This record gives sequence, C-alpha cells and structure tokens, in this order.
Amino acid sequence: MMRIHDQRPASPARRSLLKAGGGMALMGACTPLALAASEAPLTAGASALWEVWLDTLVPGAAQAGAVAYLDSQLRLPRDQRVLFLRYTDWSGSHAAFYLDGLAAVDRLSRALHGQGLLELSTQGRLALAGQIAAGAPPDWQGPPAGLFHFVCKADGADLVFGTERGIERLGLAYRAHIAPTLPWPVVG
Amino acid sequence: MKTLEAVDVVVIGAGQAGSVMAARLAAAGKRVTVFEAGPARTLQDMTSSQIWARRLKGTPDLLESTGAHPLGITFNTGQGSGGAAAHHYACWFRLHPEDFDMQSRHGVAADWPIGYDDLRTSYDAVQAEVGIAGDAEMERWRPPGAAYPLPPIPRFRQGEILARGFEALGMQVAPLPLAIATQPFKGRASCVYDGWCDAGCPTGALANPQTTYLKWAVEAGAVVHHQHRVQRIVTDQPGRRAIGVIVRNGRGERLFQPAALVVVAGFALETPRLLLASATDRHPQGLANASGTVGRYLHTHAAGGVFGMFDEDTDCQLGVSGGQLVCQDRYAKAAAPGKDFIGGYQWLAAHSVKPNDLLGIACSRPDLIGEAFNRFMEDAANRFASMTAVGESLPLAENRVEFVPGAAVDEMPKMRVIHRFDDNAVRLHRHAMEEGQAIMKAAGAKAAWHGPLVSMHLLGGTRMGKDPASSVTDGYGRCHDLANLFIAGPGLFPSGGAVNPTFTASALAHRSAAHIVSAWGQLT
Repeated sequence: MMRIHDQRPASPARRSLLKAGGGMALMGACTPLALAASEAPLTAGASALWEVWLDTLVPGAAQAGAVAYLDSQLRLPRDQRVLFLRYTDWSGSHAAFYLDGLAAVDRLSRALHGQGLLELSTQGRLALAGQIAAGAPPDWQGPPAGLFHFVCKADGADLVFGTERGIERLGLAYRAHIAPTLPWPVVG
Repeated sequence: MKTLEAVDVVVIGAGQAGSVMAARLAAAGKRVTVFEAGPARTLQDMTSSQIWARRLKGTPDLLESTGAHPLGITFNTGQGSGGAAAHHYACWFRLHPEDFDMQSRHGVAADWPIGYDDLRTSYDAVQAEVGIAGDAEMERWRPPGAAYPLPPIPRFRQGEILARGFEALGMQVAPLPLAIATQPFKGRASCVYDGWCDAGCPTGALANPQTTYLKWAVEAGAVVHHQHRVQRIVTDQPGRRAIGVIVRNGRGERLFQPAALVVVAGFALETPRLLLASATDRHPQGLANASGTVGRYLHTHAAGGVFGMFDEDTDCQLGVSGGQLVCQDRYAKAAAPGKDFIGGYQWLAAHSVKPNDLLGIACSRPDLIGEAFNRFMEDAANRFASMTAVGESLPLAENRVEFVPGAAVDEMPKMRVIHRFDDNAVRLHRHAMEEGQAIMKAAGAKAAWHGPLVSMHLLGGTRMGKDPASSVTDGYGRCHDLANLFIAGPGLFPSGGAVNPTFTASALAHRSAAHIVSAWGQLT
C-alpha cells in the first residue's frame, strides 16, 4: 500500500557533504572552456534593448543580471551555453537570434507606437510584447515572433526565479545536492 | 591510420543501453571497449540547477529538427557519460503484452519480433540488478513479473491532492515505479526527494548509468574512451561481417579499432547516422540498410502537461521529477465510443517541479508577462500541481533522420530530423487534456489548464522485425545484413506503447547480451 508522507524530508548530513563537492565540480567545469567558438558580445545598444525587453517580460530580470547573462553565454562555445534557446534546437546563430529579434522589437515599436522600445512607457512595452506574443506582428523581420517572445520570457524566468536567489525569493528552500557556485556558467 | 589492439567487442555509446551491453559482456569475460562521443562526467558534475543542467542535454551534430511537429531533440537527448539517461527521470515501466502486437491486433504500426513473455525474465533480471521502487499490487495494469525489490516512493502533499482527483472520477492510481532507491540498496543511498532528477542525480539514489551499468562495466574490465567519435563501421570485403570501427579521438587522430563484434548504442539519432555514414559498395544505402528503413519510423510519445492551481499548499517542490503517481486506466488500445483514437495513454502525476525550465512552473503560463507573471509565480510556488499524459503515437515511415549534404570528406555529415504526429496522436492528446483538466478540478484546483502536444522520448529509426525486407534487426538486435553487428537502445522499438522506454531498452540489451555470450561461436 502507499504510504502517506506528510513531512518534509529532513536535510541529512549527506546533502551538506554533496554541497561540499560542488566546488570541485565547478573547478572541473570552468577550466577547459574555450573561446574559439564564441560569438560576438553584445553592443551597448543591444544591451540596453535587451535589458528593457527582458525586464518588460519578467520584472527583475535586469537587476538579476540580464545583460551579463546573455553576454556571458554568447562568449561560450555553443555546446556549453545554457540559454533557453538551446531547447528549441535553433539551428542558426544564437547571437543573430537575439540581436535580430531585439532589432525587430525596436522597429515594431517605432512602427506601431512612434517611439523606440527604450522610450515607451511600461504600459506601452507590455502592449508591444502582447502584439509580439500573438505571433504575427506586421512587417516583422527577425526570428519567429512567437518563438522569440517565448524564449526571452523563459530566459527572464531563469534569471528571476531559477537561480538560488530566485528560488529562495519565492520562499522555497533551494535544497541543492551540489550547489552551483555561480548562477550560470561563464568562461573560466 | 594507426590500428589499435583488437578487442572482442566494441560498444558505441556510453548511455543506458550501451552501458548494459558493456557491463554484461565484460562480466562474461569479453574484452570490451566503449567509445563515447561526449565528455566524461562523474556524479560530481551534476550541479543542482536547471540552468546548469542544460549542458547535459543535446545532440551537437543535429543541424535541424523540422516537419509539421518537430521533435524536441535537445531535451530528449544527451552525450557524454550516461548519455540521455544521465538526466532521465527513472520512470521504469514494462510494456504491456498488447504493445508487441499492434499490427496483428489493431492493424497499425508493426509487430515486434518478440512478445512480452520473451522479455519478461530480462525485465525481472534488470529490476533485480538496478532496484525498482513500486507497489506491484496497486498497479492493477502491470504485466506479470517479479515484485519490486524496493518499497514505493512516499506520497507527498501534491500526490495526496491529485490522488483525490483521480479517485473522484473512479480512476485508480498507484505509486509510480521508479529506478530510484527509496531505501539503501546495494551500496546506494536512499533518495532525499529534493527534485533534482532532471539536473542529473549526484546522490546515487537514481539509477543513472554512472551509478549502475556504466560503473559496473568499468569494474568488470571494460575500457571507456570519452570524446571518441566513431565515424564508420568497417566491414570485410564481402560486406557480411563488421571487422571494427574507425574512431576519431579528442586530439583529432583517426584510429582503427578491430573487434570481433560491434554493438551500436548511439540512441535513436546517432545510431542510424552512423549506419548511413558507413555505406560501402556492398551496402550503398548504408550499412544494415537493405530494407531502406534505417533512419525511418522514428517516433516519440505524444505528451501533454496538465497544470492546476490550488488554494492549499501542495509542496510541489518535493518528490522526484518523474512524479509520485501513475494511472494506466486509459491504456486500452481499441477505439471506442467516446474514444476516437487507437492506442492508449498513461498519467504520470505529481511531478516535483522547479520554478523555471521547460517543465517548470514558469513555462506552464507562456501567456503571462510583467507583474502579472511575477504574481502568478509567487502564488504558484507552493500551490501548483502538474501531471503528464504519455500517449502512444504511430510510427510513420516519413518520420526520419537524414543527412545534410556538405560535410568534409573525413567528417560525418550532420543530421536533419523530420517529424509529424499522426492524426490519431493529435486526437489522443486532445482527449487526454480534457480528462486531465477534469481530474485537476476534481482534486480541488481553483484553476486548471494544459500545455501543447509535445514529443517525449525518441524511439525507432532502426526497428527490429521478423522480415528483413521491412526491418533492420532481428529480435536480439542483430542486424539482418551482418552476422556480428548489433544495435541496442530504444531505436529498436517498432512501436513504443505509452510508457517511458528506458526499462524496456535495458531489458532488450540485457537479453541481447546474454544471447551474444551464448552464441559467441556462431556470431564471431
């Protein structure tokens, strides 16, 4: 028969022991990463757009390190990146996905609202994001609009709610077996 | 090209099926070398983070996944020690007897060349070696077999809540059978239910290959070489036997490894890729491809998530990624009034969920953005529940792995994968999602919603069968066209039923290894 288990499991000593092993894992993970296959880092203009766009989708993303995150991932070899885009089996350039998408967002903002994304009000940005999420904004030139919206929103959720700090912000214990010593991988 | 010292067996791929093969053959005294294309990973590399864990997933040489319903390749695959099983959820089910006879019973898919009774003792043997936790009596659908060696997973609050919903609709639930130690087992510690299975379990509780068969293979004397990409299987002049493989090591050197027998265990994409890349004058369509089916009949499970928000706490972060409960009341195959599809589905319920990632709370509501999304996350963090319908889809010949032209002479061509769900699977998904929301509501959810039709698991591509004209291997995974070339893994499945495939792939490999040992003289 099934047992009812109404108690949260105690944190056994083993969990702490495993956490101690995390440092070893990080050392192993960071040292061999190569720069050879990295893509161009973000420009200042793209960084500004990215920060505002991601904070529109998931407030708090900018403060959680949106620019540092995307920039760091694009500097890694492709197979070492952890961007949510990885799940979509996107065959093209990752950098182009984000840069073309951001440029398309900004163009659409000017076309529909007479202002660039950075100049729009919060409500204007939310309305713009909604038009992009619907999947078929007029004269969109970039990665598929619905996909771009979905991927960026998931990136924002990673940053705001998926890190140790983000999970604890939700009132949940992180409960790591091996705690990450950085929120995301970087070139070591 | 340098020639290495000959071995008895080369196993290509250090995932679940390759590890079973390597362990069993090495234990039988064979000299076994394993070539794995990806990096070496130990348990200490399994960082508890859904962000970091993405490095365990993916197929780097996939160029494109396309078609009407593109398969989710990255999420369902992995390279390096343990392969995709390094991040699997350890939901270990047996196929049902009728899963083996879908063509003769229902006129769809293809029959397996073996039946449940042929595989039963292998299921039992693997179960005894690995340790599966469950309650066989509560699984009223379970095919005959030995009782589980481990007690079932404890039921946490989310499981208790969702069980109410199933029971209110007259449906049975049982503890989900899991290859996870619920108490110390053969030197492995018991699970602490923190829900990091998807990130790779470093505790040893979840039976990933690093904890079980890959470890045992090394202990039995198998030699494992990581970052060694096998580029071609080499045959003798008449093309009737494999004589070894050409492998490229991490330094870029190409080596010839002679072997008396070759096992390809590269999963559903890399295995057909290698066979196609090994074409010769004698095998112009690719090795073992006289039937023209290598790379075809690729299929998946038609899956969908159902989500609920509750007024009460669900403790949804506790447990294991695979879930706490299973219901196979909807496994029956035949279409019937109110059931406009052939094939069945099962429910995996009460997943331990993290806030982020593909199966996390956030992705259940892609429509929400801004402060509304953040409020949802705060509400859902401990009052969310989820379950997944795992449904049958029919293998279609048009669903395939194919080469993308343009590779250099000494490189393997990259892959394109093409897939669409049959209409039957679309109807199954629609039906299951309606039922799932009703279950959530019956459990007391104040809101219930569902996700899209998605692909879960990769099956087929090198299917087994009795007829060499329409299949790649026999019932032992031996290629019809070559006496000493075997395939292992879920790529062998002619059809996939509606259960997670790792246990069946392991049992098949276990059975094949025993056959290789007993028939070694004839095979080599």
